[in-house]
Amino acid sequence: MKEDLRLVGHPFLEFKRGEKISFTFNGKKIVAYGGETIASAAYAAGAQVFSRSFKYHRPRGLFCLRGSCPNCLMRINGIPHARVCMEPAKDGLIVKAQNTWPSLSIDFNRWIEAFDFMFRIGFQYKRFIRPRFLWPIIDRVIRKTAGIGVIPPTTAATSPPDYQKLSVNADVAVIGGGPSGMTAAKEAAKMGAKVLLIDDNSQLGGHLRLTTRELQQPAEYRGERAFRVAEKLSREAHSLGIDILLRATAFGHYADDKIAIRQQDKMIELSANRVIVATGSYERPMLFDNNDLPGVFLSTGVERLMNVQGVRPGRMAVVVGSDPNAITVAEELLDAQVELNGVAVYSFDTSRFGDSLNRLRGRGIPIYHSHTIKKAYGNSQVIGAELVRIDSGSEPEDLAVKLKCDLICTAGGFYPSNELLHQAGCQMRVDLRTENLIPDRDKNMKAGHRIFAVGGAGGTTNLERSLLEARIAGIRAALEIGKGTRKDETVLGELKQQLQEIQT
Amino acid sequence: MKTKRIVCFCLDVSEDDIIDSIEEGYKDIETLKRYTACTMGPCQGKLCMMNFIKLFLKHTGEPLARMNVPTVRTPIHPVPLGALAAEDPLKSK
Repeated sequence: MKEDLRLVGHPFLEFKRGEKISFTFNGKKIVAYGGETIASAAYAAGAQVFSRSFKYHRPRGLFCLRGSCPNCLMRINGIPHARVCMEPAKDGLIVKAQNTWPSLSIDFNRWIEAFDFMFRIGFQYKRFIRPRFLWPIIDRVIRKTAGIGVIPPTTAATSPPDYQKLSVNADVAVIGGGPSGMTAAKEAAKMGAKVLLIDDNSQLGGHLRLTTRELQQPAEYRGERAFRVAEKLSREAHSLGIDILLRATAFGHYADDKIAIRQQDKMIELSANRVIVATGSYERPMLFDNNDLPGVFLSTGVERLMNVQGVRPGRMAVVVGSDPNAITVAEELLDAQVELNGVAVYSFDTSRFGDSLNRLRGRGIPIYHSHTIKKAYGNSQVIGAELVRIDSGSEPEDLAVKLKCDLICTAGGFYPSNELLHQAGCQMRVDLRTENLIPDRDKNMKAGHRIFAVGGAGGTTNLERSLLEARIAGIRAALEIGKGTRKDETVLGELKQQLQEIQT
Repeated sequence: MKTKRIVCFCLDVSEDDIIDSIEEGYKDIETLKRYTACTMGPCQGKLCMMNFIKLFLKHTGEPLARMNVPTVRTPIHPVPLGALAAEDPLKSK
């Protein structure tokens, strides 16, 4: 059966597909096009299960689509532990599952879960230790079963590449190429600073690239679609002589504010006079029964699959969330020819989204206010969802709504990607409104750091504020290292004033 | 087979696992992390850190204002050993 879930038409998006290539996915030949990832091409051909979980060998499918989860870890040409959602599809690749036998759809080790009462949390520390004489045998069995597969034999094909180590200097380094990062980089570059901008994706744009929603603020972007603003900012960044490293991951902050970056086969030791952390935020999975079933996606994950990769994520969806992205994603799913069986929203003010909700209702889609998801149904794939009503302050009542679907999109909120800030010794405080840890600006000023945090990484969710923070950081960083003029100082003052005004 | 709400996708740690571990006595976030291994897999907490911390606060009674994250260590994303072992060709021996 030649299944192809690729989107051909779309109201706003154009999917530029390169030349036709093919690779094998656990023995199955998959047709792909240049520019696609291994994961999206396999998904377009009908693949739902990409791995089995570590302990219970539960089936796992695409979830985050951006290298943040373990679900798509597979073996490429024998090299283990590759996240195929971030790997470009190339002709002739041999992609295989890692820790399942005999196949992805049937894993004999699933028996472990039938005896899960014997393998409770911490079992490896305590169970089976007695009788003592059996322990060495059982220990061997446990060690053989645990782990994510066997290390492949060393051949020419599986030999690791020649990793190069480079020391790179910059006046201002910006970690993260989303709207905040691009904006900060541009300001510093315009003032003559040598700027390095890195992003772990294959393109700049960050979260704006994922969505077709119309931006409401800042004023200069009102009415423009987010992905077009992302493209515009990206073009500007590329044209300003900024050193841009893509598919580059900053994995650690070290002494003297050095940043370690891995880009493919390069290991980069970055020394910058100023570092602007613009790493955005992670999306929080929702907790409900069987929340790890293939077919359950993070809202940004499903956006990447349909809006960036151009693949229809399913036939019939249920969207649920405590974050406004639930409403955005619901409309985007309709644009991607996915039917909606229901949208459940709770814990946020939906009055701002009256137009969107009316549009959804107009299409006959039920909106369940103050409902959340209790359970996902399905054995190795989602076949339905159960929603329940939330009453303020009490346990969910069993006014269950059971809906058929093959796709569940969760919008559970976002929290800062601030690991580098923690490592740099940034003093944090708890933002009681968003319940996130964010930099304590007052405490950190006194410490004299060379590190700035802008946008989501610093807990700012509002785009207008993030862009102001980014401009301020970029200009300040450049001024502090001796670039720029009195005029830039004046602009800096004005921007700080603007930021102050928005905050109050 | 018990129905599970998965917190740590990398290592199959469920919500009940975390609650059971806290009841067993692991009421400090650093030791809870080590006992359950939650946040210690390939994702290094990208999916589970917030859920882990919020469950910890809820079931130990720690107030939100005292929320903290277990010590963040490098690498925050898996790196091949070969990359870490690479030598700078320009640096003299």
